[in-house]
Amino acid sequence: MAAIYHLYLLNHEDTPIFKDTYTSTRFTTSAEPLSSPANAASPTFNDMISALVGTHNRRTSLPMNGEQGGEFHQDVMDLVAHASLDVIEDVQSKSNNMYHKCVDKFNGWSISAFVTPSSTRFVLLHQVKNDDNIRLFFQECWEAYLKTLLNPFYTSTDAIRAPGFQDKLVKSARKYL
Amino acid sequence: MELQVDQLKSQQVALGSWAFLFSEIINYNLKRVDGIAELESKLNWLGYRVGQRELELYKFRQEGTAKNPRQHTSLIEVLQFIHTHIWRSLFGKTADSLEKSKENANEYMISDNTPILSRSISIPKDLKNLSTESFTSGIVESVLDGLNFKSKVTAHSVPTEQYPQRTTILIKLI
Repeated sequence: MAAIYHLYLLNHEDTPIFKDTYTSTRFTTSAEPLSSPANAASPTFNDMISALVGTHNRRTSLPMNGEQGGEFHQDVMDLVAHASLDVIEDVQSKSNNMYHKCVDKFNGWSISAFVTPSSTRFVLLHQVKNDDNIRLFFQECWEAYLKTLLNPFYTSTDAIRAPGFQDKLVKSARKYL
Repeated sequence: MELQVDQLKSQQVALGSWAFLFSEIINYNLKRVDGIAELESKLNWLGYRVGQRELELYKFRQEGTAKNPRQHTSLIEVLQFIHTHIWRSLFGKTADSLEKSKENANEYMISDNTPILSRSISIPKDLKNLSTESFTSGIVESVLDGLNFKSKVTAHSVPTEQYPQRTTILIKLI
């Protein structure tokens, strides 16, 4: 089974400026069974999700042990990533590292974060444990983000739409994730 | 995207061309504002944009390949970082002093005897209160903002006999 990664970039005002999803076959989810089917099927969890996004929405049903791929629950993932911002802020104020691995866990997904000097947050949702490579991936993200920021026509509150940026991240994801 | 981040590290901009550009910026804005305060806030905003980029670029050059990139967390560390590192990388020297205000606990001052950005600017009599170093205060403000110290930063010229251009950047934390 392919591993799925969700990447979110948020600026210092918590506005989302970029998001993307990567799939990788390098690590299989079965080798690192972080997500257990029992957990995913737990009724309280599903109740919670339907309370949050509504029962009529088919896309809210979580894939059992990742078999449906990532596309079916994008909005839940968005929610999880944004919910972790509080935790990230907490961790950030306590440590002086930029890279925070596994700050939060949610139903088999781990959340790692990277905070740049100007408080732009990179949030990565992942199922497999892959700390060192995620750190290297974040470093390349930082470089790509820096180069986008240095463009005088870009302001830090804008969404990043440059195709060059996306390509760069896809390449880095292929390399490390 | 393909350019190396370190490629232009040692490049410098000629002071003459900066002086020309800066005077044109001021002239352009002077015609479009109602008062000194508005002009200063425009310069501050321009500086803010520079500061954001400078902070990110400087830290990346320092920590970009480090195994465990570090962040400044204490206020004193950040102020010293601005006073020494940011000043040196932008103006080629460190600022002349870094003080804590005696009257208010949340105020800090960075002073520069010969601010390089406005070296060739002379203020006419009718604009006596204008400080073109608002640009620098914008840079300082954005660096502090980025590192999670929200503040209001202003520039004041405090001429002395020896240094007629001496400027103090007043940092007021909120």
